[in-house]
Amino acid sequence: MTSLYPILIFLVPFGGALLCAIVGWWWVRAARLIALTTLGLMTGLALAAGGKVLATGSLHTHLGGWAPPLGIEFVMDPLTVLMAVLVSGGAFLLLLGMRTAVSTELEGRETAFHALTLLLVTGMTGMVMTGDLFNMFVHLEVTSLSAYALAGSGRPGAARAGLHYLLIGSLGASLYLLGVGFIYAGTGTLNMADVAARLADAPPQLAVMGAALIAGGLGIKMALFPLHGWMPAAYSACTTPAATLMAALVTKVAAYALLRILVWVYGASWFAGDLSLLLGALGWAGAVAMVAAGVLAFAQNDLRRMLAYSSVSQMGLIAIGISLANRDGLTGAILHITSDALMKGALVLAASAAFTRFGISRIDQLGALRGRAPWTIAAIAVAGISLIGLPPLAGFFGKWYVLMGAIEAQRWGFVVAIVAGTLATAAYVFRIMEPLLFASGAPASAASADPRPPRTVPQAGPAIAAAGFALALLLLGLFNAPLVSALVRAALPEGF
Amino acid sequence: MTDPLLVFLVERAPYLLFVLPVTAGAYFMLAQRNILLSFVGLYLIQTGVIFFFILLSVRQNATIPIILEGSSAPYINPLPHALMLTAIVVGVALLGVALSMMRRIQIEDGTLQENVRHREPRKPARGKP
Repeated sequence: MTSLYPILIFLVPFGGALLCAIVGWWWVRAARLIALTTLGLMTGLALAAGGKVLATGSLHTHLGGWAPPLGIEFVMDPLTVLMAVLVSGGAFLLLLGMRTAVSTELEGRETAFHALTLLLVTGMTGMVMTGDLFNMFVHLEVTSLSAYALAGSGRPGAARAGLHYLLIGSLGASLYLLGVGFIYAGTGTLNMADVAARLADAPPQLAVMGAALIAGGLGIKMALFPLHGWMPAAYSACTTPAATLMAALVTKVAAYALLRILVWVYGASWFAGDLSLLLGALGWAGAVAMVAAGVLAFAQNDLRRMLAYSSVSQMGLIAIGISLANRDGLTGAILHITSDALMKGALVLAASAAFTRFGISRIDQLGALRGRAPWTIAAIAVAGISLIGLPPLAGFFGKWYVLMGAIEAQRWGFVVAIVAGTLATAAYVFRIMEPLLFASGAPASAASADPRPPRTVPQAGPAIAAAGFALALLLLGLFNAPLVSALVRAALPEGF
Repeated sequence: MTDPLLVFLVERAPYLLFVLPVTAGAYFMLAQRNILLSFVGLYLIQTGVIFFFILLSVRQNATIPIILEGSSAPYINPLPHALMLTAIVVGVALLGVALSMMRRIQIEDGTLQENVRHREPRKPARGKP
């Protein structure tokens, strides 16, 4: 049915970004307040829209009153609701948790940071909601441009890493646009539902070429192995608030976009037919990513580089889930996009707090946190356990569904990769946890036990954010069954 | 006698407008050690993609897509032009962000050369508040 909710959820952060930039110019302290209010309002709207979607079915907004194949439409189906709540609520919690990080690392640039954060959220919301392939490109670029600016500001050296990210990221966006061009040449339309209906009559080589270019372009954006090179460099060079936002949300939304296009626009008949080669490549790239990036994460000594490689590894699991092309695999991929966003949010926020409050950026220094930052340690523990994949936390279920899907499809290579990747995950999570939990852990922790006194007094924000992420992971795990049947399974198209 | 390859090339000659900028752009992005030239390469690739869309809209003996009363002349597809107008705007925004970042790199490092490509970025001054 037609509703204003989809466009309203998109316009709230956009208006907030403009307001933030204008008011924050004179009154810097208001910027954070405006950003938090906006994101809170947006989360509320997303939840309200979610209730409506569950009660009455998908919501559509026809922009400018033009009906779909001609006009652009915003669509909210159950999966969109999940992603919209994740993006808005996740950004809200992240912003709540990084007040100290923003005020110390981006001193004097708070207004720009908050306005860019809201623009980033605007772009991601647009990517999640849009039902139009070219509109997706525009929102992809809004997201990316905000992300480049966030990544390139702040510390010395960040601009260079940010510009590398810009070069490779915009190449990805150009590939995506070229892919859309091939689809347009084949079908003569850009609306996703309309393309899905007409793609069967299109020349298969145009459709396959379009899918391959889109997968390559979005593969760069989601840091899919072997296109992940920009990510560890960008994450370790930029400021911790920017790294937090990008690690938790930006790559996940790109993965969602790939899933949306491959599953909803192409669909089951293409998966079984002409796209099987592309899906095979996607799956094996994911399998190699899971194991190799897991081992690389274990080998890192810089906490944020480790988390970046961990993201590459988890993205591998999502790619395997998509490539399996069965119900369980896709369910697992969607669940893992959600839970990895929450886990990375909690972990990178904790790393940011450790860096700004105690000056800790290496894993062997983590022992200094012991007894001084209980909330940070609790967040790391919950998110770490979830990352390994222990029930009842959310990380278990995504992995479980993908594993079930791999067994169902009898892809034993993927099963081995998932198990090996999980072992690597357990190894690097224990490397983080050991100095936090045991006094006699790493010998280096004694030497650097006290790098410097905490810079600020503890605040309520980080504790609330850590508790929020942990609670979300627990609830997502405990209420997994109703969530999967109401949001994920209900959204999957016919044939899966 | 006609060579099939020659026929293929002549029939698709307009697509050279797409192929040449993309090839040149890929060369600049891969082979140049200067960030500015790498960015020029990226811009060439984007331009090539824009040409690709415009080429989709072309028809023989067609006129501009303004329908006059009584006229039944074929007209070119206006949609790709509208799309590419948006893409060009996005490209200009990208140019702005990239140039401002390059300015910062120039101020920080004094060069836009890529000699620090595979090295860690410089560590920030830790002690400074």
